[in-house]
Amino acid sequence: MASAPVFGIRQIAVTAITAGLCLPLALFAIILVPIPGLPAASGFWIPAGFYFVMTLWFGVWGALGGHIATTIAMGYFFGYTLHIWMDGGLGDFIAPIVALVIFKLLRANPELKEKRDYAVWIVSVMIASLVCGLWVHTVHLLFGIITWPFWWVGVLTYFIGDTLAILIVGTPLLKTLTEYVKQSPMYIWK
Amino acid sequence: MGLSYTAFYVLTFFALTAVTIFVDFISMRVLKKHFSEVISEKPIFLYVMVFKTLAEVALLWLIVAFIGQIWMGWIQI
Repeated sequence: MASAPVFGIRQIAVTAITAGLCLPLALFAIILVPIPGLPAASGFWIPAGFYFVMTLWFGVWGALGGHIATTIAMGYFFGYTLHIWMDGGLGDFIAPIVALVIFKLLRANPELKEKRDYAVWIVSVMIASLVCGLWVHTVHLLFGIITWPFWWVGVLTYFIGDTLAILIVGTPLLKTLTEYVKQSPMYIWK
Repeated sequence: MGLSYTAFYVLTFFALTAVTIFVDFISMRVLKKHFSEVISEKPIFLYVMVFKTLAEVALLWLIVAFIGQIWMGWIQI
């Protein structure tokens, strides 16, 4: 698991920068690739590529930044209800944590040095995206926000849209930047 | 001319942003072998470099997405 969360200026900075970076991306992901019938959904969830990488490097603080960004993006600017804010935001908090746990359990290396690391990365992203889609749309369904046919559409589009965005953006970031990030005292894989 | 002032201004801004990112990319490659010593001397450089790179990737995505919207006919400038 991730190292014990220590609260300090560095942690606040990582969370704030992740949130600040992901907020405009989340907004435009919803505007550019909306899914008709699904509130605050996007078929290409580009911010996930960033907060997944930040979570793999810095643990829960990266995920928290993603959560704050997507909660604000899904809520304030679009006028959705508190339920939709929280549900989507929590889904985006859970997803990178799921990927991080899989990475930790399988002892993969975020530097993606071996084929096994790539395999774990791809599988963890797919599982995390599926978990996120299942969480968000099952809660929506249970609260009567969406109907049953849209549950399938939602889970499938989250699975495909999140997975593609994370792999396209996250893979080169992990490959090129991890060798520098690992010098940080906040890097959780030491 | 068919290009509006808004389009000209926005595209110029995009072009200069892209060039700046490209030049920064080149300079980072040139300085790559010195990173470790700079980071050991000034640890904040690590965070600045990483967050700057992430922001540059995000900027490029926003530029591509904006041009994509024009291309698809979703918006006009």
